[in-house]
Amino acid sequence: MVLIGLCNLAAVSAVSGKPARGGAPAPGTAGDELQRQIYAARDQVLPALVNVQPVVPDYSSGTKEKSQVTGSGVVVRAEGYVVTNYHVAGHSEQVICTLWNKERLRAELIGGDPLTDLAVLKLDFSDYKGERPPAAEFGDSDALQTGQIVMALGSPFALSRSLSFGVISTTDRYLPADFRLPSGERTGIFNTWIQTDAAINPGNSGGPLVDLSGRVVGINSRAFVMANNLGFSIPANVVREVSGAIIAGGKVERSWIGVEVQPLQELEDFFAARAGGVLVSDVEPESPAESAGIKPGDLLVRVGNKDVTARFYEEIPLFYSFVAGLPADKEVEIAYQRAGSLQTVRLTPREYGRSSGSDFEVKAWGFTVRGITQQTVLDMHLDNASGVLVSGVRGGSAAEEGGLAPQDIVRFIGETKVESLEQFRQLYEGLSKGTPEPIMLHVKRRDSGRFVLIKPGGREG
Amino acid sequence: MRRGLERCGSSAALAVLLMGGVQAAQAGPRQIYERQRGSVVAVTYYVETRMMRQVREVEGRDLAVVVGTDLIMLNGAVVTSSATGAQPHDFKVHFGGGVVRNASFVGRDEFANIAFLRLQGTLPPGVQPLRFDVRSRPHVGDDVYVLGLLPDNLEPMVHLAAGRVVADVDKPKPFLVTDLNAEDALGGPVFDADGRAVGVLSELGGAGPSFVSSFGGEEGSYYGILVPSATLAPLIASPPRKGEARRAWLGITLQALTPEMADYWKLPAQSGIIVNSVIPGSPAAVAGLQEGDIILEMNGAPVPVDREDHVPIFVEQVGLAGVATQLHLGIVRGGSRQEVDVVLQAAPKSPQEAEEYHNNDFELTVRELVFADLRAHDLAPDFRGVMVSRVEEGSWSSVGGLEAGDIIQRVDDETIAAPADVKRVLEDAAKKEIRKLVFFVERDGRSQFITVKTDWQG
Repeated sequence: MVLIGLCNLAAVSAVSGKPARGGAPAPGTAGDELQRQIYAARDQVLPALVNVQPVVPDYSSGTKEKSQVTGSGVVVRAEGYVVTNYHVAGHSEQVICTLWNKERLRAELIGGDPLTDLAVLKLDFSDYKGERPPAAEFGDSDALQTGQIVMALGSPFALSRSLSFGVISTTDRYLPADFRLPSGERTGIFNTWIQTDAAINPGNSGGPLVDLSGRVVGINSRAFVMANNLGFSIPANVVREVSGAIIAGGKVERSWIGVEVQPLQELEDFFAARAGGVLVSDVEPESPAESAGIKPGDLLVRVGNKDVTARFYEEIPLFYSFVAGLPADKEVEIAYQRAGSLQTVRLTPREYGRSSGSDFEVKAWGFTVRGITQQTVLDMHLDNASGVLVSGVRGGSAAEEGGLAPQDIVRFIGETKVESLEQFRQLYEGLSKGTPEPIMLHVKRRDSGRFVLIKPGGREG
Repeated sequence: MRRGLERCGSSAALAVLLMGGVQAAQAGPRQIYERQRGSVVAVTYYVETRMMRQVREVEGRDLAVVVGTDLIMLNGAVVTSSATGAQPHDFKVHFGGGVVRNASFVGRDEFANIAFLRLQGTLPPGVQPLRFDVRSRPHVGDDVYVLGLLPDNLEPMVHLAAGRVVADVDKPKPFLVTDLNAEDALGGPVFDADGRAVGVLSELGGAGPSFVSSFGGEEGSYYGILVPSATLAPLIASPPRKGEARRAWLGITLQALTPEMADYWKLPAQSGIIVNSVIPGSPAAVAGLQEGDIILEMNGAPVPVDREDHVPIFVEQVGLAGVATQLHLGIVRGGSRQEVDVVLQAAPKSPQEAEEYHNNDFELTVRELVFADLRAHDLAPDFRGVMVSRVEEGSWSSVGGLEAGDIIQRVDDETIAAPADVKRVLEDAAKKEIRKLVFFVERDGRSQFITVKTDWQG
């Protein structure tokens, strides 16, 4: 158990009051003890701290634009695996990392998980002669307490090796799951957050939140802008699981049954819920849950062998995370209550799949596209996954001239149906060779089709 | 109150004097200002805006023109400005001398971008409706004058701006372009040098729901668009009524056939309309029009739409053709010419025309779900529900979590398909003093349950 901050915190305010009356605290006071612990914790984690500078492509303007961003990271395995945020390095093409000793080296992206906003890099030690960074030790985030003293380390506004200090403001903050990463993916569905008042600024993202023993208890990921000291970290237990899966297999495997749920609080009597349960608020079309006949208003009480309940928002991520952990393609029994009577149904979870497809620049025609995944289909209420999603249209390009717009879905090139990004790429590469000819695309825009005539070599030359 | 009456009296006296002068032949900017400014009024109302997820009510203020003994005309953009599709409400008309009258919304004409209010009570003494002169249409080069309102004054402080007609545009529809660039004169009456009211200033290039919205709007260079008297007069004589479907529609989504596309497909015409989808049950569907058909002719004449900005020409032609009219369309389908006859039907209601219901206990306003909502929210044609158009802040509904834009599908175990269903359920709840209602709503493409608690002790 980590030292609790309450009395130490009181000592801190005593310390901050004292210098005005002259002098540092006398040796052996509580303030002195806290200072000693902070130094010790710092020394424990600082060698594992990494400044992460990935080069990230952005396809949203219809062309591939690269920029270098700065974030933070922490070494989690002595072989050189570094955990950072997905929104820092999840799309990176190359990454420069700076270690605690100011040495700079390259890293490669091993994998990322937008749903928890985590990514794993591997440092390339091949040309590195210096001392290798140790792996940081992880703490148990389930054992954290509100008021516990923590420190945030990282590179706020690219100011590397910065340390800020505070307490855990709450251990299980629920943040609405409609938040999206800048690259468009849904995120934050499977975890609650550690809220801290340790200063977290842009650039802190991916850096560790550590306790007074120097153990990583969270990965700093978000902060409220225009607020004072409202920072949010992904709990270490989630980080350990996700980064472990990425290191082992390059990705996190999750299952999906297609239910959206909401807290049962205040609705118990309406749904005659005697023993808790998880209230289904929505069922995704063509999902395992829909095929099994589950409907909004059903109260899930048992999934497999586990009793489930969610009275409060804070319990919702736990349920989603539990369902995601069911084995895909293996039948599971679900017990639910409908109109007061208990029923059971068997369904087979499906693989959750990738959050978003790969990006591709359709240079000669002046736009960018992204592959369509099962998640895109759900997100955009599409009928199926055929076609490619237009992610950007370059100003002044043939595509813009022809009336193409972001969010259009290219369904046909000429008379050929577009099935996948790979097939689209091949079609495009075939067509863009030789003398440019006008090409007719047929796209889906909202609920209607639309023709887009591309005349390459137009006014852009 | 007393003081207001006195002021009203003196302004009436002034108006009577001016009335005497109307007949005088001599006109000019000064005469226009002095004779006509009484018909220019300020209209205030409440409208909803959305900031992040927060819906707030703000007070709006616009210029309007008295065009009948109880009829007020204003810019049509006002009634479509709500962030939630809720209608602006609590209209008040502010006359000179501090006289204020309540008014109710009558309707809006989409094509002319003009809306009308009906005054409750009579015009203050001395205020005369403005008469538009349908016979005079200024020419390029003519001087024109517009009356506007100076900003931030509830009491109308009328100003006059001068300009010139700079172009006479044919497409996408006939209108006059002026160099009047006075934002606070939008909706204001425009006069020629002889003092005849020749139209209203509809908009300054830029955005707007009307036809001319694609015109102008390059940075800094705005042009005042003049909607001529000939367009206004029939609307003033018979204002569009909310809920009364006057326009006709085909029921297709469409795009322009550009000459480049016509060449690509080797079509025998250089303009037309591509049918991108056919709405089930619409006149187009009944007539057998199909996705991918290209309409080249309507009633024997070529469809003159060769660029996207001009699609409204076709929409207006159809819209004004009238319900139950038969259109004879010449189309190309799969490379061959065909003829299709379509009998037009009334276009579906717009959100502004939708039937509303307000409940005082729950401080909740809902409105009928219309075709445009189904499209905007990607809902199936057979989806049933009502749209929450307004929730008073701090009300039971708002505390419970209902938001403007939610679509109510069920309340407790009652299916909701029309505002009347909400009325029945909420009034019944009031009668039984029910403590809690569970709403099942659709929000942002997902459904959820929302508990609304009352203060009743039932």
